[in-house]
Amino acid sequence: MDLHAVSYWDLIFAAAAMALPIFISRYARLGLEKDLAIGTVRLLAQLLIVGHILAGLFAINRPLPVLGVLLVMVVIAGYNAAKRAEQMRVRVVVMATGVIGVVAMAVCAYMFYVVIGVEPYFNPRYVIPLMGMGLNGAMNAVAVGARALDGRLRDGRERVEAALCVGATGRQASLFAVREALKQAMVPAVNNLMTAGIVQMPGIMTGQIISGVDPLLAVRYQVVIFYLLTVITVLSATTTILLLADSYFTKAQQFAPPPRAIRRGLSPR
Amino acid sequence: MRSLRFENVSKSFAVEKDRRVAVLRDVSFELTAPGVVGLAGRSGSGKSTLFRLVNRLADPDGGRILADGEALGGGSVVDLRRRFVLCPQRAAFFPGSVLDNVTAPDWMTKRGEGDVARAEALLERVEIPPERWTSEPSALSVGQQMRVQIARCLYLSPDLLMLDESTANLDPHIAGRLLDDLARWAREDSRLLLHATHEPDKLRRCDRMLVLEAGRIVADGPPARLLDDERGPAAAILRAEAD
Repeated sequence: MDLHAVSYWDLIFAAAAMALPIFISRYARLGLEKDLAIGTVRLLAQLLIVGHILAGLFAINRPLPVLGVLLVMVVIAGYNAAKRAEQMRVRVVVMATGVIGVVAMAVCAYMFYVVIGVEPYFNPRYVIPLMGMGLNGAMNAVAVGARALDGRLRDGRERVEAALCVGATGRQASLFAVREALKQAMVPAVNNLMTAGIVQMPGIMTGQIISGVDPLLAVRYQVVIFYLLTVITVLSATTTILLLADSYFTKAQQFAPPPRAIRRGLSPR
Repeated sequence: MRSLRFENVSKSFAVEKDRRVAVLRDVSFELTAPGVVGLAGRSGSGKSTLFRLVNRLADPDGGRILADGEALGGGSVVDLRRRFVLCPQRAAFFPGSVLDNVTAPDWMTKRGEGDVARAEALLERVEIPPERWTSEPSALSVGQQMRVQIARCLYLSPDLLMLDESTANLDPHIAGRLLDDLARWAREDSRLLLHATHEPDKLRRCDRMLVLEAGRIVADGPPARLLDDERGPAAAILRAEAD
């Protein structure tokens, strides 16, 4: 099959189409023109940089640079998870980075070496993009889970304290919020499993098919990725929510939610 | 438990970064079981905070609280909260039926036949009709919900029961019967019942009355004497709350 190579000129024509959403935003006074314009340029720049880094990594083909890139990705994912959860506290950033790193690496290792059989073990062609997807899944799950837990516990203060009043531990008193937050973090992953291929054509599969790969092979890869993402989502959300829930209680099992995080910069707790 | 003693207890809360508001200031008193003690005071005078310090939902900034001569905080806080039970001002429930909510304190153990029978007896005692026992608590009236919450507290057979305005939304006749029943329960089983309220007829059912004003105990004595003293602090506070 002939693969039509997208040139840089083609990208400029594609970007030209973005004038339409910008025009609509301006016409409807949505105030999103600036973000749309910056996003259009930023997406192009970011992905071109990533493309060059990947090309460099493929050319070097050594394990240490791959590990270095993975570590940077993990830290950025942890920081962004805490930021999106509106919980910019040192504790949450460190915890999110740790959970995302450990969970994504463990699950990806299983998929790489047991399922796909990646060789050599650090092969950046597999490791970087698949870990990237895994980290993205973990980052979303941690952000949604942490945010949902915070909201549920703060809104449910009376319920938490009513439980503490009759001898519940903090963990028992917060169980309802933990369950609801877990559910909220997991629902998108479960919905993706249900609708993949029917309502939406998954991106990586579409990309592979356009690139000339056998559709059945593309589908098999996509299935692996969906399982990978679901396992990562569930594990990272569960770990984060359980770790975070305990931090809302003192050693004397008193309900003491941390002060609301400051939007800019890190707060100490 | 034989006695509960407050020694110069203070508590304040941070309202802004560098500003704290004192809620309790040098509060000292001693209560002995059995007894029914009324705690009167305006809204915001520190009644709820005082209760929260006793069952350690919060800790004092200064002073000590002693139960039978021993400072609170030595043993397990979970055990303490099962002995000194606070019935919060607003009812809050857990998933499940009315009956499940009464047995909810059995967090770690499986509910047995005896537990259900005990919970049913308590629901009868707080006058919840049997046809509502399997309903969701949200289907009950506000007054019924509060009575279910009181039943949940009694389920633990506490040494000390603190009612934080818990009878405010009850029908006056039911509230009267319930308070008489709880007073009997306290007096006969050598327990302490602490009742925060600013309703004079409920305070008159108590053996003793403490009056809190701006975080300080301003009066302590038999309710009849304090309430009938037209120029005393108790009468002034209750008049202000009634307005």
